[in-house]
Amino acid sequence: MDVSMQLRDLASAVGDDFALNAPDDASKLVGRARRGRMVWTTGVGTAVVGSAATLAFGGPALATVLTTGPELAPASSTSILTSESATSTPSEDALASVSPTESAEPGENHESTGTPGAGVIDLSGGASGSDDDNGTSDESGDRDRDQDQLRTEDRDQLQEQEQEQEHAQEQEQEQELEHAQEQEQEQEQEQLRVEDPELDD
Amino acid sequence: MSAWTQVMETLVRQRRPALVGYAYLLTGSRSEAEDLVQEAIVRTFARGRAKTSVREAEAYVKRAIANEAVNRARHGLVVRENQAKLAEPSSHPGHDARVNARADLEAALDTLSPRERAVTVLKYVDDLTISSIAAVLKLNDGTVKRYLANAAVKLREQLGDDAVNIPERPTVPVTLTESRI
Repeated sequence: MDVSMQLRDLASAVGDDFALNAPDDASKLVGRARRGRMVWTTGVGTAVVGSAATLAFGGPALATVLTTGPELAPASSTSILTSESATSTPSEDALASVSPTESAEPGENHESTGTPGAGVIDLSGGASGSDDDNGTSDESGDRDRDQDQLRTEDRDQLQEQEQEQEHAQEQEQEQELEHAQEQEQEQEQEQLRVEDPELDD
Repeated sequence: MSAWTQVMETLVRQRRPALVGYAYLLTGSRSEAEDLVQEAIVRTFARGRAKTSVREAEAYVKRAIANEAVNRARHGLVVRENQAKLAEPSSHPGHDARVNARADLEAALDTLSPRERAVTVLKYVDDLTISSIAAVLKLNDGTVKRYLANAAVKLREQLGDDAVNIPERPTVPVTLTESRI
């Protein structure tokens, strides 16, 4: 007898022996499988929904941050972030785009962040730049040039505003100093008058 | 009651003994075989991989049993029962011969490595092809052939030359040419 028949005989013998005392726990096993099925379905469903949400909502935000991040972070633009016009940071944009109502469509996402300001213009420019893959190369080149011009103009305006503010502060300080010196001189003259009343005559 | 629960209950009630015997060939332990079958059935139906028919479900559970048996044996999770496979006295003629043959077969299977054992069972019990065995155990075809050849040699040493038919290797004609040295 070959090994194939011997193996099958052995398996059937063990199976028959098991069948004599087989536990009737089919319903118990079904219950275990049902619980495991719920856990497995919940886990897989959560993972699927999470990954889908990440791709749907986190993808544009991530792309926006990645495309606009290097342009918002240069050392010269630290004053831009502290100015009043630069209210939109990459993190705020990411949070805004995570909201399902605003980020359902990429176009709405870009419009939702559109408040006038340098940072906003930078962000929208980066986001629209990511959409340039669908358009022609000429249009994308024109957009990029326009965006660069806008960015440079915004930066120039901010620098001018800062210079004006610094100039105004310096003028105020000078006026305060002059006023303080005049007051000191008047006080000194009054003291002299008190000490030497003849001077009044 | 949903369809998968009906399939599962039918599988457990009707095919569980056969699955335990199948798992016993892979593990060599009765308790391990029962535990393996139970876990394989529950896992198969718990992960949404249940089939619509009992036959498909049984085939899937068998694959799960084979893979899990190899994994457990390779990680040392299988505790051999070390049962004394002694022949029991019996008045039936021919009983001693069957028991001795069964003990010899179990001893021969114990000499195989986990993968050699799994490959042997899948080949000689399930009649799977080399490529099917490779797909089930996630191995290369060449690896399966090597395991099969090694297992056949060991089984022949234990059970005799007639027990296992090793297919002859195809001979490749070699033409010798004169060397230029």
